[in-house]
Amino acid sequence: MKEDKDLLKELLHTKFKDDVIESSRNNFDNIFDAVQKKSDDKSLFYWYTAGVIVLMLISVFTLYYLKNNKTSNTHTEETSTEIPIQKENINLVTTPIDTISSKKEENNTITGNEISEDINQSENSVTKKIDVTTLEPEDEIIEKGVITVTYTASDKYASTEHTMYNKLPDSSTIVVRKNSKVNFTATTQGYRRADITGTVFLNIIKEESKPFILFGKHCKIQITGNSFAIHSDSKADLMTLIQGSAKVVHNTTKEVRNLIPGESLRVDQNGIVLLEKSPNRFAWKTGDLHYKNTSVDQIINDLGENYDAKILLKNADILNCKYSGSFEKTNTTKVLTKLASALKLRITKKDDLFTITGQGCNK
Amino acid sequence: MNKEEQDKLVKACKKNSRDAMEKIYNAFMPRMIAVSIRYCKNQSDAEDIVQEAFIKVFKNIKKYKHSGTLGSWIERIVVNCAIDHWHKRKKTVLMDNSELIMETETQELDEIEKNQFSKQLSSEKLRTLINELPEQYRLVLNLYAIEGYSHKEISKILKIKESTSRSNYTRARKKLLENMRAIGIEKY
Repeated sequence: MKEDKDLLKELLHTKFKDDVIESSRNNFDNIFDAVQKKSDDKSLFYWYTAGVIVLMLISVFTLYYLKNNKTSNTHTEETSTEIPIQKENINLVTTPIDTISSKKEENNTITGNEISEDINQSENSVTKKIDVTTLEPEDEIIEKGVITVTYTASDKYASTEHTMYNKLPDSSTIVVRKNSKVNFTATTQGYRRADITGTVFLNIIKEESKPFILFGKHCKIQITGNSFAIHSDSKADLMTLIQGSAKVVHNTTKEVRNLIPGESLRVDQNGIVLLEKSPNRFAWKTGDLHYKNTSVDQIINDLGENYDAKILLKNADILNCKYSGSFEKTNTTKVLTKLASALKLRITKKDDLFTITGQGCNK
Repeated sequence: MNKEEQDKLVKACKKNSRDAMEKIYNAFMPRMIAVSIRYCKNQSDAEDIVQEAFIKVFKNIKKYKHSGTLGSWIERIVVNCAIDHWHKRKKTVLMDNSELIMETETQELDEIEKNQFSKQLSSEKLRTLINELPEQYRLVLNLYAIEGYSHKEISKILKIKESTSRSNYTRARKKLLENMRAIGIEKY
């Protein structure tokens, strides 16, 4: 069988070994054209590929350039440095100071009212390309591709002892207080935008071409190279300009007001009101507390909010007592000492806990 | 065309010489049609396959390593094209079982008969007989007996089992022998 197979194979192999059939047509032209076309296709493919790569490179460089140009001073790094503020001590020599304006000041020990902030930008320079008074809500839409950073401070992480000093992408410094939030955006329109909820202190890096605009609930504030305190909630926006200049525009009434250092405003749905004193909720920053027939309950609350004061009352009736008076560059110990002498109370301190004893007041 | 001439032409082809390509085409085309026609039903299909094969030949001429003869290299490409062509249009694959083949049924071919066939059967007639075989038998017979592929290689090329290739060949061979004998050539 095997032999048979080989024989047929041999026969077929021999028969067809040199078998030829003449073609009825000459296809060479077609073949040559096809071969040339294929090589043309190949070279075209290389050209296309090279072209696409070049275009991609150009667009990448353009995007990079545009991005750099728009946010020349923005850094994508978000640094959150946690610097514990000094605790008040029994010697009454330390107080929270303008820590936000410069970290150098953080370790200062002051003995009185000797803090003098460098007011080096007293000029009201509001001649910007973007004017907050003309900024319509339509322009506020945050577009894609811009740097947006959000800082949210919970109750836990924004106590005075654990103050978060956050550096915005433009190198401005912010302190976000308890239960507050900042949403920072380097907008495509060329200004820096910070949406504020709660209490925030800012030290803005001045940049002529990129105005810094705070968005409160009731107003917009264009601020320049300064130290600024703002509290924004649904009821009202409260603010104190510590140094520099600021221009406030009411969202609905379009009322405009320029602030000078030391001035405070309250902006609610009815309009802008100039405040005589800085709001007590900014005391952590300003060191100022102002009371007029205020309950001890409120005062203790302020001390807790601003200085994380731990206060123990032996008699709940003390909360009903009223106090009037102002404090400047103050701290918990100073306030409580004055309070004690005015209301005939006794203050003792163990570690960081103040204990108040004495007779209270009737409602 | 001797080996030296071929090598020269191949070199020129690599430089995209139209003349060299045409010379190679004219030299090998009749042979390639003869190869290709065994895999399809008519000369027109065979010529299409050859055209496609020559496009591949010239496109891939740089891959030709001069290890075998140019003719056998082109022939392989033609066979591959023909098989591709078959794969594209095939609808069914014959699933043969070698165990069902009764070997004794095949009348053996001996030297004398082989010589007779060799003398009396023209290649054209033989080609016709092969073409009458069922398609897959024909392919296996072509690849195994004429092209010289092993059953293992055929199983890969045709995407069938090796055992199927063997049984297809056995049946193709039996059928072909019957057909060869049927056209009136006596055994002795």
